[in-house]
This record gives sequence, C-alpha cells and structure tokens, in this order.
Amino acid sequence: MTLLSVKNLRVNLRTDAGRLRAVRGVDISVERGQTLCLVGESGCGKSMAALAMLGLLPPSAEWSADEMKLDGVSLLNAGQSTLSNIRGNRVSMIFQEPMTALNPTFTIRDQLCGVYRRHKGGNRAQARERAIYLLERVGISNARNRLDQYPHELSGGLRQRVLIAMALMCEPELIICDEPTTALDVTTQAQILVLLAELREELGMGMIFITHDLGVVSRIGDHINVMYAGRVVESGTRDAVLGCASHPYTQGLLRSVPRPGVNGLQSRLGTIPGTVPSFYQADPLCPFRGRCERKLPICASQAPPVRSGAGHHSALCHNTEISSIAGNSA
Amino acid sequence: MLEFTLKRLGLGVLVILIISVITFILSHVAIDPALGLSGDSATAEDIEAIRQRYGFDRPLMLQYFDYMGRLLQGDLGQSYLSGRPVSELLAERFPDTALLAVLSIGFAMIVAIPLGVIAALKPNTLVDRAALFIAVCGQAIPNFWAGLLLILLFGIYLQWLPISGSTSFVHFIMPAIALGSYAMPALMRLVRAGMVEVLRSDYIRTARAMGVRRRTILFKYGLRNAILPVISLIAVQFGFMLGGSIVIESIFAINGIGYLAWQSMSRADMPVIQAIVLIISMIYVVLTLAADLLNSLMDPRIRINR
Ligand SMILES: Nc1ncnc2c1ncn2[C@@H]1O[C@H](COP(=O)(O)OP(=O)(O)OP(=O)(O)O)[C@@H](O)[C@H]1O
Ligand code: SF4
Ligand SMILES: [Mg+2]
Repeated sequence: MTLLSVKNLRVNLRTDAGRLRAVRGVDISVERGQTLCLVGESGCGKSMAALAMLGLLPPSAEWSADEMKLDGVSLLNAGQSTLSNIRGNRVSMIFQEPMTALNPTFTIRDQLCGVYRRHKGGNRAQARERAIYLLERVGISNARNRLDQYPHELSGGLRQRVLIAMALMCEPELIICDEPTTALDVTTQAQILVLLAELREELGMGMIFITHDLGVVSRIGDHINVMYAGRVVESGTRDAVLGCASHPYTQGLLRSVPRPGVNGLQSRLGTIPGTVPSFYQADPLCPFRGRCERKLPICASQAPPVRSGAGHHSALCHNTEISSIAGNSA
Repeated sequence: MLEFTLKRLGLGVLVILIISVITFILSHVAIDPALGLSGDSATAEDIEAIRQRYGFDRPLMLQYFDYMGRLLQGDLGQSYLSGRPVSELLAERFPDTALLAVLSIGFAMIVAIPLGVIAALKPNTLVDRAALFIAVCGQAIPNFWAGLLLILLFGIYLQWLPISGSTSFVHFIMPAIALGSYAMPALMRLVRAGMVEVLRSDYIRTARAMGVRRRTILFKYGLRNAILPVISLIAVQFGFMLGGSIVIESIFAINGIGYLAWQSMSRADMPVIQAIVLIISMIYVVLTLAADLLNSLMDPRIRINR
C-alpha cells in the first residue's frame, strides 16, 4: 500500500496583499523504501506542501485536499492531537537550518530522549540507549559524551546529524527532509546525503526530499515532482524526468545545472530568465507561460493538459510529447 | 564560572567604591557637615568648634579614609537629626520596605507572566489587546493615584483592607498592588515579546515537528527561553523597590526606607542619605550579579568555563 498519498493539496496564505495561493493542487505519493524529490525554485511552495502534510502550517495558512492518507488511513479530518501523535513518531521532518533548529537551553540528551519518551514511553535508560545508538549511527563519535553537550557546542554538520538522530528516535515510516543540506559546506553536504540515503535504505522508510538542487536529486531520488508556482508541472521516475525531461521548465532547470565544462571548468549553461510568479487569484493557465521559450498561442487561453507517458511520467504542458520509453523509467 | 563570578564581584566592589567616593564628596563638600551637625541655632563659634572636634578641617582624603575605615566596621555614622546611629535607623526601617518589595515584585510577576504568555499566544487578537490595555493602564496611572484609588475602593468603600500602617500582613496588600502594578507593564511586554519571538523560532518548529506536546512546548521550551531577558529586568525592578518607594510609603504610612530617605532629604540629614544611597547601590550590584548568575545557569550559551 502507498505509504503517503495526497491528492489535490491546496494551501493559501493570508497576506496583506490578499490570499497567496502557495500550493495549487499538488499530488504526492510516496512508497516505502523510496525517495520522492520535490524540486523547484525558491518560493514554489515546496515547504508549504510538506508542512501541510504534518499540520505544521503557520497560523496564517489555510489548506484543503481531496485525499491525504498515511498508510491507507485518512488524515483529512485528523485533529491536532492525532497529528501530534504521528509527528516525530510515524512521520518526522528535518529542516534547513541546523544552527537554530535545536533548543539552545537543553542538552542533546534532553532533546533526543524527550522525543522518544513522548511517543514510546519507556524509562530514561531505554531512551538514553536509543539516543546513543542513533548518535553513533549518524556518525557522531564519542556519542556518550555528546549527550550532555548543548547545541552551541556543536558544529553545523554535527547539529544536522543530531537532528537526523532525533527524527529517527521513534523509527518513523516516513521522513521529510526540507533542504537539509543547503546550509552546510560542500563536504558535509555530501556526507549527510550519503547518510540519509543509507538510513532510508536500512530502515525501509519512505522519504520526501525537498531541494532545488538537481545534482542532489540525481543522486538520491527515486521519483521526482518538479514544482513550479505551487503546481507539479512534471513528475515521474528519476531516470524519466532527468533523462527525458518533457516540460520546458524542467528542461530549463536541467540546462541551468552547473556541470564540468571544457577545460574542466564549471560552467553555468544559462539560467531561466525571469522569476516565479505569485498567484493571488485562481489561474488555471500554465504558470510558466511568462518565461517559456516554447509557448504557443493556446497557452494564453487554455489550461495545459496532463500529458502522460510510460511509468507514470507526466507533464503539464500544451507543447510537449512524453518521449521517455518504458525501459527508461522502470 | 567561578572566574566569571569573581570578576563580576570585583567589578561590583569597584562600583560601590566609586559611589562611596561620590556620596562622600557630596556630603562633605556640597553641604558643610559641621553646619548639619550643629543645628539651626548654632553660632559661628559653635560650628567652628564642631568642625575641629569632628576633624572636618582635615584634608578630604584623610577624612574619606577615616570614613571608609568606620564603614568597614559597620559604622555608618550618626543621624544629624536624631543623633542615633544610621545603621540602627536602617535596620529598623528595612524589614517593612523589604516585605513590601517582595510582595510588589511577586504581584507584578504573577500578573505579568501569564498575561504576557497569553498575549503572545494570540498576537493581535482581542486577548492581546486586552492585555496591552491593562499594561498601558498600569504604566499610565501614577503610583499615588493608583494608591488613592485602591484606598477609596477597598479601604473606604468596601472596607476590606486597612488603609494605613504596617502592623500586619494585610496592611501590605494594597501598597504591594499599587507598587507592583507600576512594575508590571514592562515585565509583561518583555514576556510577550520574548514569547512571540521564541514561538516563532526554528527550535520550536522542530519540537512541533517531533510531536512534542503543546503544553511542554509552551511552558518548558518556550517560557524557559523567553524568561531569560525578563530575569534581568526583575532584578532591576526589585532593586528599585528595595530602595523604598517614597510615594507609596507615605500614602500608606509605612515606615520604610523610602519614608526615611524622604525625611532625611527634606532636612539635609547627610549621613542617612549617604548610607541609603550606598546601600541601594550595593543591593543593585548584588541583584544584577544574581540575575547574571541565574541567567547563565539557565542559558548554557553564556556559561563561562564550564
Ligand atoms: N509565513 C508566510 N506568510 C506568507 N507567505 C509565506 C509565508 N511563508 C512562505 N510564504 C510564501 O509562500 C510561498 C511558498 O513558500 P515555500 O516556503 O513553500 O517555498 P519553497 O518552495 O519552500 O521555497 P524555498 O526553496 O525558498 O524554501 C512563497 O511565495 C513564500 O513567499
Ligand atoms: S503550456 Fe505552454 S507556456 Fe506552459 S510550459 Fe507548456 S508550452 Fe510553455
Ligand atoms: Mg522551503
């Protein structure tokens, strides 16, 4: 059974300028043992979509969905206490800013064990054993001594590892990572990515990985949802989306990924001109039309159709054919 | 930690020394001490005799060292007015002022902390506005006015509480409310601001994402972080109250330090004024040090030499 299945998720944010439609009908589906990547430029609604699934949206937000099921059980009408029992227990989330994501006035032990005892009960010793085991597992040497340290005594990379350990304290079925490596230096970034991929494998969790870095996606993604202005404009398996990108936006993103150029130099092969629009009104037309190079006259008057191909590969566009072949997208 | 404490203590002693110099100079230069001692009816010869007898004609430096020597032995001098030792006067007056201060700061905290938390939980709602309104009232209504209103309502109209004196605990209720409600608004605002900021912080989001209960988040994670800046303010306000409130003590006829200070000032009783200023500054030094220590106990980031 699909671990997490969300259909037609919408999130509006009340702002001074009106109701900002941050997420406009997004479908998300994650299987056990698989990683779904949400990719897109800053502001396209990735974080809002993730927060909505956990009931963590800011007070100014309102959301709706046609379906939201965790392991077949609907969460649509779940109250805060049900969601709070799920959070950190069956579904965990880690965030972008490891420097500020830990409570400065409590020790690592207090914070890790607190989560465990909140959900699993048990005594101090059990929680402590679990904390030590996980700290070691996420690659923190000298775990026993680290327990009594405070966050400010740890580097950013270590803090992110502690946060990962915290997220895993209760053996969640699903872990949502919202740009967990963006704030770290390149070497640490790579180590954390490898660690997350290993842990997902080892624990058989599902994972939602939010990023704007296609390089990261190609390394850890099984499935990809490319988001643009609150919508999923292309989705499919990693190989299908990265190998046979069909939506002009995905193609533009791929062109803008830096890669080793001639003379071994990193060359940026062009970025997509323009910025992501914000929507305060319902707008069924293609959100990318202002920046699209392949725009057709019909794009300005009719909503883009879903074009699908083999292996659930689909794109939301008037002017594309899904070209991926079945063998490519398994 | 120890080094930090010692450093702060050293600094405190320095501050008190400087203040002792200033008060000494004021009491020996601004006003002629011989004049103060001799009383109104003294002749020029009397004054000169006193000057010689008490050594006021010696160099100021010497007099200061004398004064400090006596101070270290606990001798604060004698009141010009009553002729009694200043230390005796202070010991007599201090308990009432201290009780009033404890009750006042307690009242301010009991009102300010819950109100600040509630306001922070529902920012920009009716609840928040109501809390702000209470705070503004507390700050806008002058001490004496609040005191008189309380006396009118609870003392004269309802006759629930005694309106003056300091013979029993209930005598302190109204003055404590009057004095405390003046300190309360600043506290409440600081609690509210701290709480709003903390609740917006990343680590609270982490706690929520980990399913930590709302209660725990508010009172354990939230308040502990939000209260840190409040501690220092409480220390300052408490120090202020321990110095005695002239207005409140006069209105409610409490024979405390504030009342004593007022009496001494109106009659230029320099030794008493000097002693009160010195003691208030000592209280401040001790309280701010205590607040800093408490802060560093609660906030590991400012703990030194762990
Ligand atoms: N608290 C908020 N109030 C109002 N608008 C917000 C709030 N948080 C985010 N937004 C807006 O909602 C939209 C979606 O934001 P979201 O954080 O989901 O983007 P994102 O894809 O995660 O971007 P990033 O890569 O920068 O994290 C953006 O336009 C953003 O400006
Ligand atoms: S629908 Fe039209 S405007 Fe939108 S991406 Fe496709 S071609 Fe471009
Ligand atoms: Mg984001």
